[in-house]
Amino acid sequence: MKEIFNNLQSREKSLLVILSAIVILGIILSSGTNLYSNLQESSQRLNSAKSDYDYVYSQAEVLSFNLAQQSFLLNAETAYATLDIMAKDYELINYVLTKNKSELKMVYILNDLERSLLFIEDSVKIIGIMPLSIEVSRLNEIKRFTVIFNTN
Amino acid sequence: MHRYLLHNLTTSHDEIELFHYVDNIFQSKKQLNIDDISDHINSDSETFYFIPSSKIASVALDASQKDNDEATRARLLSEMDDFIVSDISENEIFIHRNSKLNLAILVDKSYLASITKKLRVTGSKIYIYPEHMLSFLKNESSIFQIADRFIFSFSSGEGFSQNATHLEDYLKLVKKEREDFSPKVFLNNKILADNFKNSEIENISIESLHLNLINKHLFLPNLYLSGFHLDYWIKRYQINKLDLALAIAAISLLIIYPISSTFLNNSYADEYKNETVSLFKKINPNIKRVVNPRRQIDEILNSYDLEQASNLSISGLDSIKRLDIPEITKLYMNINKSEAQLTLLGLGSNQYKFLINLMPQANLILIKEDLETNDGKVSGSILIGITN
Repeated sequence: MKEIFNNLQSREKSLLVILSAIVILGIILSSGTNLYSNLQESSQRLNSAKSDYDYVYSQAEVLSFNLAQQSFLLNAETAYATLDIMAKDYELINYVLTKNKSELKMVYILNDLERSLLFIEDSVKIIGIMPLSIEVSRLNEIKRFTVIFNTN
Repeated sequence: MHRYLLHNLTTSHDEIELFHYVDNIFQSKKQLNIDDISDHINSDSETFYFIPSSKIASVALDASQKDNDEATRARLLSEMDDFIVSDISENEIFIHRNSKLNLAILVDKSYLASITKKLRVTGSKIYIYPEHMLSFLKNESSIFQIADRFIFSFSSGEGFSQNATHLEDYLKLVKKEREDFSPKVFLNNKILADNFKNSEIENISIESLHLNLINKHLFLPNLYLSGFHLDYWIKRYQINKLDLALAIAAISLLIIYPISSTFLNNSYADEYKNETVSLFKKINPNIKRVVNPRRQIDEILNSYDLEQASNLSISGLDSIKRLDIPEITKLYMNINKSEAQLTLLGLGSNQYKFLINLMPQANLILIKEDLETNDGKVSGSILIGITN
């Protein structure tokens, strides 16, 4: 191959070199463009998939919240039982659930603030009702929580 | 600028004499093997290699002829086929035309290639000239001597070299072929003096011929065939292993980055899609396909005829975490009003000021203060607003 190339005239050699350079440059440019356009497409695909997921997740949360609320209004006892089980799981101290016609009051002691707030969020998911108020009373490291829900 | 000028010493082109100049000042000369020149020549210098004129065939071209280079080559090939001992196609033909010189030079390709290959090792800027060009630049018709070679330069730029043994035979031939040849003789030699009685004789050093060439060489035909030779350019631009590694790393990064990012994006997108499908399956296990997730979830919500909750997260829970200070003995948060009442007991006044200053960063606004300060301690209650 090298011999054939060397036997060519300088004009032919130059033309071949220029042609090869153009072909190689074309391949590099085309591959580069292809690579970066694939990257752009994949990025758009990811954004679209993420946005769809976020939307579906938020709507599923709405659905779950509403279903939980309906279920609580129809059969509150089951929800109370679930809350009792959850209170044990969270290792709440002096957990007391007081119900009347218009209000549901949860009182407990837990020194771990983070864990306590998680319990409140999980309770909301079970009964499907947002709390009216949250009270945190503190004596040294002991924290007593009072959460009131409006059940009307 | 360092310049190195190289001459052959013997008929074998391996033994050379190297003259070293710095900014047109002679530094040294030494004899060495051509394979060792990279030890003596730096890449930021210029190297001039002189091919013995006996190794080339030079033909004066008619300046009035307007043939292009290819046509001139073809004509030369047909005219010289009978005179060249070797296969004519094994010769490289250089056509050189400018206002001062119209010349064709034929040189054996393999010989030139082997010289060029050895010179490239230096990484320096390379010039290869026929040896007789040294004296041609001083006086077009001239004779001088290097090693055992008597070098003849003719007015048209042609030239030849002959060793002492065959000098007389060659002189006869020259006088027969070129009757008007009246050279300037740059050496003291009895045979030459006898043959060119009318010629001027001048003793001139090779160094002065070198310096003359260094200043005037640009219009001469450079027989160096440049081209893309990676090892030469690496040496020429003093590219070391670190530079190469960095360049390779940069190029690899340019290639690997889009490939890996595309792969990661696609895999994350697939993961999101799978999780979306999984959410649908949790809502309704009978759902087989998810084509348009937004429309499908909206349809499901509509089918349940549910009231949309305006806010599903309890605003202010994060704020409670930020207010976990022992001196705040009670916190009452009204979720609907997005307000919180804090009861303080013995909080240091500086600490209190710090707390108030930090509130905007935690999306809290001070609404009302009902405080007493005793001995630098703040007690009482404050009302704060919680913003999202």
